[in-house]
Amino acid sequence: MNDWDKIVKKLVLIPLVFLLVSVQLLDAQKRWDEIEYPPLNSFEKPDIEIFQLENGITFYLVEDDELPLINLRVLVRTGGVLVPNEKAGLQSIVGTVMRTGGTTSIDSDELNEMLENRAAQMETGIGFTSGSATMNVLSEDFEDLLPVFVDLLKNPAFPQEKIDLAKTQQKSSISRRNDNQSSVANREFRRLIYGPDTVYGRNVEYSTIDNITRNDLSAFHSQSFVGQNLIIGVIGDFKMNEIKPKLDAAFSPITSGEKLELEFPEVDYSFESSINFVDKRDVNQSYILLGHIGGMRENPDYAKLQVMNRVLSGGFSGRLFQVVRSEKGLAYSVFGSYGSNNFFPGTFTAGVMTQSSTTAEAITAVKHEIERLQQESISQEELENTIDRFLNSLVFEYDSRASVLNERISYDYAGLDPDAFDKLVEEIQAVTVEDVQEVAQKYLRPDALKILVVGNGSEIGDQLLQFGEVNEIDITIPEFAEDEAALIGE
Amino acid sequence: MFIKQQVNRGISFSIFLLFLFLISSVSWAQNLEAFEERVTEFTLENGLHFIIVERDIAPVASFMTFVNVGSANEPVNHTGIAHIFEHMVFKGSKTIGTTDWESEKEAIEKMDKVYRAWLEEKYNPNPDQEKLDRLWEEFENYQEQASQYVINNEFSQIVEREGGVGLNAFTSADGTGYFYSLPQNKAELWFSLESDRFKNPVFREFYREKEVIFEERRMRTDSSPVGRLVEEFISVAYSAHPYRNPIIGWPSDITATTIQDTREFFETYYAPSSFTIAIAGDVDPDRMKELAETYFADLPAGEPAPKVKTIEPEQRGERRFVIEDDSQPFFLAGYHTVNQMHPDWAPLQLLGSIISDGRTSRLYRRLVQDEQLALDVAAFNGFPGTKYSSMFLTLAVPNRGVPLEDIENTINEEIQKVKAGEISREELDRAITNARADLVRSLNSNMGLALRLAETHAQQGDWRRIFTFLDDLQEVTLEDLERVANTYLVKQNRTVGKIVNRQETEEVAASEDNL
Repeated sequence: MNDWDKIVKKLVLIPLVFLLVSVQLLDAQKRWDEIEYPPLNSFEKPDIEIFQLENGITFYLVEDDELPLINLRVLVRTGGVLVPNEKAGLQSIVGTVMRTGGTTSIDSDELNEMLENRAAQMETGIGFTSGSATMNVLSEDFEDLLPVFVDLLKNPAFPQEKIDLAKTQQKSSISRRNDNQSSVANREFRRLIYGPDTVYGRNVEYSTIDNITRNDLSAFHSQSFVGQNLIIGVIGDFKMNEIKPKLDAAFSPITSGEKLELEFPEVDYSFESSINFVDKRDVNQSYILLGHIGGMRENPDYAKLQVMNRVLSGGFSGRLFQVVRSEKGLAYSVFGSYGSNNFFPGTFTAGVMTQSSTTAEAITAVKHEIERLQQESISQEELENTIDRFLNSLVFEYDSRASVLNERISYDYAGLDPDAFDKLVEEIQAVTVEDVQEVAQKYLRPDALKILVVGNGSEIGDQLLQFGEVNEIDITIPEFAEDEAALIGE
Repeated sequence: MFIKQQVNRGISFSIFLLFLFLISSVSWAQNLEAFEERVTEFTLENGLHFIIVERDIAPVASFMTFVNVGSANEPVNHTGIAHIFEHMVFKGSKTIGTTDWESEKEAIEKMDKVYRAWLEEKYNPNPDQEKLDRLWEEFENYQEQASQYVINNEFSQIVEREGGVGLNAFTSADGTGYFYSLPQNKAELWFSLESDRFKNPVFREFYREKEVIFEERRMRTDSSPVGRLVEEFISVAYSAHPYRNPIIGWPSDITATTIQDTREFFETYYAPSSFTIAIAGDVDPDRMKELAETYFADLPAGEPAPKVKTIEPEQRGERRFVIEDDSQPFFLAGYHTVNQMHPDWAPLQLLGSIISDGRTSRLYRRLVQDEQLALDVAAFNGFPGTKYSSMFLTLAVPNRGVPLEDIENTINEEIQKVKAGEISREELDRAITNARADLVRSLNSNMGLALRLAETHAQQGDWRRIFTFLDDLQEVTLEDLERVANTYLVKQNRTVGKIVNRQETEEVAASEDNL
């Protein structure tokens, strides 16, 4: 290498070094609050194609070719609310046996093999305010399996042996319902709020399962699974113009029937404070729920209540997490929110799980946070942070094509406007610190809380007395009628 | 912030795979090519590995920091320390979460020193109670002093205020994951916050947070019948390997773990080479690479984390235990098998699937459907972890009044049939088809992709194993199934744990007394 070369190299190297430094400078590490964000990439909401068959079935279609699958979900206007108390659990048995029992033309073993050989999924289930049936298949299997799915909806066989199996399983679940602390707490709290003999608070018991007959299943099915009650969402790898005639042909044979009116009885609630206790000797932590009746989604204060909920318990930033968990170390799990339901009043429920010895302290700490929402207004900064959390994460509301479809269908089923969410966003932006205090004062009643503790009485001692006279709840499971008869016989 | 009992059924996934269900006509190599176009990988000089997956379905992105260190790496006296550290990572850094780090640090160090003195005194044969009380009071004073400087959960509040969702973390026996999702234009925020919290770990509110962890333990283990059973089960089934310890830690170990111990654990195990970071979503891989260099390149490489060298010795005989409990009965049995890199892993995965997945499976048909012995039944390989020698589990929830012996005998009969070679080609094909389908169905989530790619890279050396494992499954023969059943599912290699109902047991005992 001669000198000229060396000089040339140096000349080349010098700017290179500078360049490296300047790149480094351009991309220096920044503190979180120094970062400037580029604009967000856009997201185009997919169009939802909506059409109705003559029998009343409404379809909602969205194309989505990311995966070679088609997913069809039927939402059924029906539910446990239609079932009388003495047959509590009927809707769940119908939902189970529709699938496990096969159809009048394909028996269940044959159906299971046909589906699992193709890794196809079909499931049915019925809850309290709606029912559902789903089919998830490879797009190339769609045409073959669609008639099977419609057969399942239209002609379930309800064979007696599968009904008996479902009943046995339900009874096994009943026998296990006191094993898990959180399910005891949630169940008993629901009964405290809505009343144990109401459609909202009742239990499924051995006797109510025994009361259910095959005729009940058939009758429930045939009033529910008719065109007027079905909303169907289809998303996946298909072409709109190709799939529509297929859906039309497959679903048109379903009879139109009558539209079911789901009637939700009034909740007869009186605001009274009480302290209730379930003794569970195999735990060392108290599962505490406290609250009262909540409200409806249609409430004009809904947006304000959502902000209040987030102040009280939104992620890591909510007050309950901050105070009861981080500052006081009283709990791993703590939460609270004023619930607003679509069809019947929700509940205001706050909850905390804490070791037996700090049961009273945790109740007081949670109660204090509820009272504080009423007594002092939140700061402007807390309000802005709370609203920012909501607005900045809005993009996740539609993080897939399916989320757009699902939102639309659930809004339609609940009777909400399709733009209800956009409206909520607008309203939340307008919420003020005064609004939050106002709704806290209007809707929360820390003076009239029903408190439920599921915990270990021998460890808790007399801590609960400070909240009033303790009402001990007996959760013994009522026995089988036939067992009782046998006992009397002895 | 939660404990993940890792249940890896060895079912993997891929994207845009039209050929996925065709059993043998297309090799996975082709699918891999299609997927690879969307994946960018690079390793920083300090050993930190990044995997970027482009997925522009929506303007969001998910971030997964997977650290290949779990509870299996914990030192004696300090079970639960991996999980304790995981909680501490949410406490911020030297600049986030504090009003005055220097003063706070001083108080924290004094507090820890006093706590260590308290611990030492406590474990003396004749502890001096007065001294203990004095030390405790001093400890509480320093704790109070340190807390003056704390900005409560500032780290998490920043993430959430900027629109972050799903902020959380998990600790498993094999690894630890830290994750959340952000609007895609805020990727740099993640780089800034994430690099800061791992470069500048603080042990803020350490002892307060241990109280939170004790509550977590009470909730998941002490107050849960199945939690108690599983903790007992792994401690009986493993003699030597750290899989025997609960992820959340034994209570006395949680008490005995100090800030000093936790910092030492971090410095020993959290080398950049222990990290795999995966980002999935609407992001530009070139930009991610620039940001990775900017924010993570200055982490010193350090020594690689020590490896777990304990090997579980061969079991000499069947182990059984019974918990008499208030809860209804439960049945759990497990057989020692292999780790996920072993050639028998694939047939063991398929064996679990064939006997217990779906309504056509052998155990479901017999125990749930036909003989109505059980409310639910399951069998699978891959517990309590997959990185080290694992277990094949069978478990059942008996129906009301069904004796556990009937459950156990029936499961054993079904295993006997497998050993005798009764599984059909149709069953095997169906299990492979369903493994592929499960994989495809799990593809539509950024976070799911990020976790699976990061974890597979960290633990198996290459995320492509996700694809090639399906080729392994494809090559499994009926003879393999028969062979692995005869090799592993044998009595000597088995641990059986049961919950029996205390009340029923007492009633039986009472009636026997009367005889």
